[in-house]
Amino acid sequence: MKIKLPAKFWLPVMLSATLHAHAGENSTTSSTPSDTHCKADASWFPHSQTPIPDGRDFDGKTNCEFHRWAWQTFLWLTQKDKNGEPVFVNMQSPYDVLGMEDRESLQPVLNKSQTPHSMDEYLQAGTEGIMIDQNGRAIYYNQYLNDEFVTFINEKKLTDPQSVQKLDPETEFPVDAIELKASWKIVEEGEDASDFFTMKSSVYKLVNKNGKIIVDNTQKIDVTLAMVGFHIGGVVKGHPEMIWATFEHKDNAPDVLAKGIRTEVEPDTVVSDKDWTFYKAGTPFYACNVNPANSPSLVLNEEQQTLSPITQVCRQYAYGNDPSQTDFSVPTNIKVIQQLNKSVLANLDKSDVWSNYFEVGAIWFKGANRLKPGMDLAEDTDSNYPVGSPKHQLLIGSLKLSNSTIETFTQRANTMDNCFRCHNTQYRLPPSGNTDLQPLKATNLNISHAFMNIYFWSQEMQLRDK
Amino acid sequence: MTETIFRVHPAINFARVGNSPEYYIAPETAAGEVIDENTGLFGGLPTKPGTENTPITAEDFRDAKGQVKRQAARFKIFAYDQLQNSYPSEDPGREVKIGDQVGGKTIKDIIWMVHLANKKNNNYQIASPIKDSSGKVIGEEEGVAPYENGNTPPIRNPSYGPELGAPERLRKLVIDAGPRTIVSSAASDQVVDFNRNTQASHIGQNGVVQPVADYPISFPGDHFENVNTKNGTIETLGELQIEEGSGRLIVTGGYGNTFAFKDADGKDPKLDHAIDNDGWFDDVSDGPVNATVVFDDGSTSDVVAGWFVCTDPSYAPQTRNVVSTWDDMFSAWVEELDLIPSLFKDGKYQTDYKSAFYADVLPVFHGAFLQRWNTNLPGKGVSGHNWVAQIKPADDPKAKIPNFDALIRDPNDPKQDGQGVKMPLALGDAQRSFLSLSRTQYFLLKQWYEGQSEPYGPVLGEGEKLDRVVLLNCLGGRFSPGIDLTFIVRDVNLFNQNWRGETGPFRINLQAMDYSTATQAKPFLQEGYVPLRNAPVEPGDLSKFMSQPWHTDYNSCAVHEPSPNPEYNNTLYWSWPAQRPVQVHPVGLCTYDEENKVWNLGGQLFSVRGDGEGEENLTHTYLPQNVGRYQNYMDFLENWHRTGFIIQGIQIADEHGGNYGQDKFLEVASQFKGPGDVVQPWPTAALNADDD
Repeated sequence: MKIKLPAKFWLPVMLSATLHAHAGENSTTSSTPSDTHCKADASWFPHSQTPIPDGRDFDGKTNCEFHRWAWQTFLWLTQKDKNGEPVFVNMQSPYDVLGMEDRESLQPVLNKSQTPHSMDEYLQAGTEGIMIDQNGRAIYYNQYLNDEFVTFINEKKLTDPQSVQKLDPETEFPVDAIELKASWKIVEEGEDASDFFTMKSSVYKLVNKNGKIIVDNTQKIDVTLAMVGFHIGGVVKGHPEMIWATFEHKDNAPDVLAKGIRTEVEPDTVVSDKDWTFYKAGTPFYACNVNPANSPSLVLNEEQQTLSPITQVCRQYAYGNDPSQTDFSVPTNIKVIQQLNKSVLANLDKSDVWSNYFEVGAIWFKGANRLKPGMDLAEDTDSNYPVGSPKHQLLIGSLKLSNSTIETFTQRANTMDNCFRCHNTQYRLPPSGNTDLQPLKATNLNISHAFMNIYFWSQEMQLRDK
Repeated sequence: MTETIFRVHPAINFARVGNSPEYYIAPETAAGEVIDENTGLFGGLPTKPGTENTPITAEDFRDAKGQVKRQAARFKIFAYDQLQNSYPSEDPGREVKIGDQVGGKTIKDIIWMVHLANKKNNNYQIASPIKDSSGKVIGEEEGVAPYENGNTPPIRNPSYGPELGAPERLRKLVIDAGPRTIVSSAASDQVVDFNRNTQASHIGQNGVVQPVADYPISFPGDHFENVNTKNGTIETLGELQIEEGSGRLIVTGGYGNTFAFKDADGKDPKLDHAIDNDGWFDDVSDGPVNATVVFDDGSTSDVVAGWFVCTDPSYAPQTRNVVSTWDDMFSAWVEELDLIPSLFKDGKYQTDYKSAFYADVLPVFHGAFLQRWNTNLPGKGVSGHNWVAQIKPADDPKAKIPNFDALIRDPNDPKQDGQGVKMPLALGDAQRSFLSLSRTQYFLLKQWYEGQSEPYGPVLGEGEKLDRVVLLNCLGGRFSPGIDLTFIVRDVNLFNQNWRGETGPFRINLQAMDYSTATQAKPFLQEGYVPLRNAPVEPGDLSKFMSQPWHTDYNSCAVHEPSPNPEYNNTLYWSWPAQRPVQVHPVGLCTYDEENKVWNLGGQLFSVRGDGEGEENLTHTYLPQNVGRYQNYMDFLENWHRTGFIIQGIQIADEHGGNYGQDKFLEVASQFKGPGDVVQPWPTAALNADDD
């Protein structure tokens, strides 16, 4: 009979075992990250004591090291602070940085207490897609910035659009700056969400207005939210482009096992014969990730706050890679993520709700300090270098990385099939098309959508104040 | 002083097929240009018949029976008192009609002569195979390349013999209605038909109409049995009429019918290719529009001829093509025929040339911003297009567009042909994966960006404006093969290059016709124009480079992967959404805001969406690369005329005594009953099966 020990007892035992056994599911290592055996670092456990990652101490020589940064950051962000809440929950949002409280277009509501902000985003990046869960409820999103990010914004006065316009385009985010995006599912009454991280919060009501489904920021609904997806973007030494990592809850959606650019899965193939949080058993591939955003078939029942049709979510690429791709270190990346997931999860207490999440993947630049203004990042390669040149490959890691709950609808098309397709350093036109706003020139900071939002929102605030 | 010169304008004009005997007049304003600042009405709409320039409304696309009205081409005659030495002409010219005084004489009448033919079945294939060094077919090439180095592509209908000039092929495979005449003084109800039973006639000596009794008129039914009668038959290529009160010529074209025939070995025709289907006639056509002015003293003056082309319906007449037929043709004329030396000479664009904001710059941006009404562009694309469309001539270009080179694909840099991230976000042709502006467009836009522009450019004469506007409303850039005209507009051999003097620019290099030699014993028309050769142009030589029949190409050209498809690409792009709408906003999905008395935009459906739901719908597919089309070409042949039209909201009356607003371009008059497949926002991506 196995005796389950409390976490505080369990972890040291495991560590001890690792040091002596060199192997096993729960093994860790504190040695140099290895692409042969990528393991969690012993210092991360127990989860309550995962140290904050130091991006200055980053070698970047192995694939493993990037994923280890992702996992360590995840563990650090999700460990409890002195209030008993995960660290990330009380980080600032881009709205906080601007001190926005009542802007209609931005739907901010700030709780002055330490409870999280009202969830105010429901549209997915890139397209207008609304992901709808099996209960007919929208998935909600919010963003967080860490202190290094916020301090940098404030020190450079980047909440002042005129400062941004004068900014040296080569300016980079400092090491350890982090931006986060989380996706949340509403927990229905009676629904078992025991293996999710949940929190009490509020969401804005969705209403039908002017032929569209919009957020009504005058009406809040108190809800319990369950985290289903978590993006982590952060700077380490030599990587101002940020490592873009994403995590998901283990029960979100089945993997399609797509191969190649055209998927090589017949449309009527049943992706999974079991129910997932966002997938009904037996759903064929053709019904996965359908985005009816512009279709009359998308309907909101205001009273019930339910939408239809329900989104059947499938994860197009496990680990954010095409398994048939053999170049660009793809096989290594897949193996490293698998090894590290296994290693970390084996070291988390099963009662730790965060043990139900896993790293889908991460993507970054091959080689150090290659970020420059005006990169469109539409391809994985740098066309300035010929095939065969060490610098020809620009992107590395999970080259087709999406979070199935955050980029549900853009997982397949190559124009949006990884983080950098949209997180690039090209100039930006005002997203609202408002001609009173100034475009954003091409800068290295454009890699962050939080930065770009702050630039355009700050202009809108100035116009409003005039 | 020289003798007055007369010219037909537009130099080329377009009729469009419909299954109704009724018609409206081809647009004489340009899509993408605001023609009424008060209402915000954009140009490009056809004109109501019997009016000078009243644009049609939503109710005018179909007749009382619900049939698609045809678009008629209206031709005018302009007088010029000076020879032309430059473009625009020093002499702006003036339209002349019966009763007008010219050089001390009074115009007594105008005799018009038009000769229509359809030579599609006796031409080369548009899509010709690309082979590797071992002879293996590795792709299809379209455009002029297969005509280079003395080569020609494979021919259509090879079972009828290998030579396009062989008499049997000419006799059987060419629809030749022959020439017809009509005089401006004719009654407005006189209709001269391009059918088998109407006698051919031409303008003889001294401006006298001469019958051509022995003209070898040829229709498919003279030689073949129609093995597919479900889509009508072909007994006419159109009609001539005179516009009441003006004496202008009105030319209508075919009815969208087809005629299918067996090959020389007795095999039934297939309909399985987007462009080249042997054994199928359609009833489009083209040919010269000649005229002779007759004066009261009995003297006559020949008129520089125009050209008539009949083609597909225009389902979105107000959506400007970012690259139009005009842009391609103009670029060829600028670069190769010395049209505007201050813009281009000695092989180079002249950097001191000032572009015109309202003529050269804003229309490109307007073209971009109008695409949303026929595509599934996501919000980011829509707002970006809206942004550039609002740029004013006084704005600093660099403040509005921080990086021109990152935004606009450079047509001079072949590397950029495969870079999908740049604009225009559409497909290219002739082995260019993505669409580029014409080199002239690009240069003029860049001049603006560099501060070398002024609000208005040189003023065109009224006739010259017509030449330009008509072609601005037609598709350019992606001639694979296209909708209206194709890659031949980039070949200067198509044109009369001796344009200075009497002729003026943009005139087709027409073959002189001696109808006195016509005899039933032999075909009158020959092989005619071949790209990159200097043979003059005969009736039927322009439309013969289009899809055979047009319906298949229209149906298939919804969304595609680029060709060649970059190795990393699976994203689908639109072929020619301004001419062939893909995703539309049907008027019936708009909702009325009682409080503000305005209409809200509704959702999107596919323009071609069939009837019924799910798998019962003949347009249904699980493959994103095949959406928005009938999955079987035959079904589109039967249903093409049920497709709806896109028109600006102010031209759509509502039941509240108002309209749907100038800010929307909505689909009206669709007869499809099905919702079709779900429209998803761009980007969508191809799945494993092959695209056609």
